[in-house]
Amino acid sequence: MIRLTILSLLIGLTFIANAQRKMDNQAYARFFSEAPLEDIEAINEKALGVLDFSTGKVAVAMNMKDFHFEKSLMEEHFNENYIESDKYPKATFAGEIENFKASDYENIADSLTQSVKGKLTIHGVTKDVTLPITFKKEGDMLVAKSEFIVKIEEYDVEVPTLLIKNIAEEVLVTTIFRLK
Amino acid sequence: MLRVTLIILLTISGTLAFGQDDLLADLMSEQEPTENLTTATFKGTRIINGHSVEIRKKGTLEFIISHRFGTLNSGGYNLWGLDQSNIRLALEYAPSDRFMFGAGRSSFEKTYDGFIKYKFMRQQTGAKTVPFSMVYFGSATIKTLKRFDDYEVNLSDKMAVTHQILIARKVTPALSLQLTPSYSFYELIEANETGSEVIALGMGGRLKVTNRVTINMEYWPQFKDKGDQYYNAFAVGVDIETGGHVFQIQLTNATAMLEKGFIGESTNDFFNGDIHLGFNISRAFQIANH
Repeated sequence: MIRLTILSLLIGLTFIANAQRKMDNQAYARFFSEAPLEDIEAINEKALGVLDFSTGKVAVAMNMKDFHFEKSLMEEHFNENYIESDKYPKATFAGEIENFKASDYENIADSLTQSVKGKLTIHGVTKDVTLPITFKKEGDMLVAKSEFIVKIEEYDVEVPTLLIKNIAEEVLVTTIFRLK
Repeated sequence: MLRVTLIILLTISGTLAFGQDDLLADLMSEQEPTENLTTATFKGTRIINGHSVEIRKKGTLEFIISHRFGTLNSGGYNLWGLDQSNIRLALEYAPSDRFMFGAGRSSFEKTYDGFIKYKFMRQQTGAKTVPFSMVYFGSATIKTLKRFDDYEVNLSDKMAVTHQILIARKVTPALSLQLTPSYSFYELIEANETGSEVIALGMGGRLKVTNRVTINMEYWPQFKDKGDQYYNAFAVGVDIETGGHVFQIQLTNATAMLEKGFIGESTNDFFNGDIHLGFNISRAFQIANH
């Protein structure tokens, strides 16, 4: 009987834990860099993001090969020469929203801006970061948007001196998650 | 009872902790395996002389300038071959990610050429695993150099065609290997030649030294009696990539830059020092959306 109780409790709990997770498996990620010779933009529409409302924890994962560029050769060089996606296929983020209260998200009037602290991994290099994140309600969806700067040097992405005019050292990253 | 409560509490907290730490792992397991195509098996559409399995991405127009100088052993008077130069100018276009075609003109024997290339098998991992990429390659050439004798030839006599199957595998991110069974047919057999067909097996590969520099090698042994005057084509080279350009610098015994020429009609012996310094420069333009 006790065992049964434990079991049902456990199952129930796992269920609750899952029910409190909202995710987006077609999230949007874009990066943009502005250099003297060339603007570079790439968009990924297959990113994954999840927010656990029981804990305020956040996780994001995306395949580097899902980033698409206007110039196909750029895309090849991004994968082959810079981000080395054979070796480091994914970029990930795992973190926690600071001062998280699930009730804050029930009635968002206009928008709610929070900061999320965690580990950002790009090109196999993990850094501690604190990122801004803004929530809005759209019907039954919670839309989370985050915009931040990544310094590519910090993630050991090498740019040959010959191409320094084509590739900026700072990249603007925009991510949008439609959580449900 | 206390024990039971403790167990429950522990299990609950354990489950919760587990759930938290593995949020990222849980997320990744949500991701369905997708088709992960192997890209950039080679940097260029040529290994050195011969084609590689690379097809440019849809909408890419590539302008290729190839040079082969004279032989290194032609002496200081000829600046070790640099006085002499054969050139091929070509435009090559990919209307899809699997298909490309191109046309070129070589100064050697004043030859025009056209080719098509179709990738019918793509190396990939993920949802399904395909170990190799395979490409069909076909080319036709017309030699327009005026004959030195009075023998009358019509247009078709000036032609040669080549069919190849390119089979390549990117073994590791640094190492790629390719086998290329090749068949060429020559319309006209010259007096000193042994037949109208050449069958060969190209063997080529590349090794990445850095992300932007590779060392390439290529050898084209022939399977039919090629007579005394012809040698199998051999080449070693370096690829250097800088943004939209690929520079290929090579040493080879082949003078011609077309399949029918370098595979079947190389008259120089690499190991006797009849080596041509050469280079290919390509510039890619994205002229349509991909």
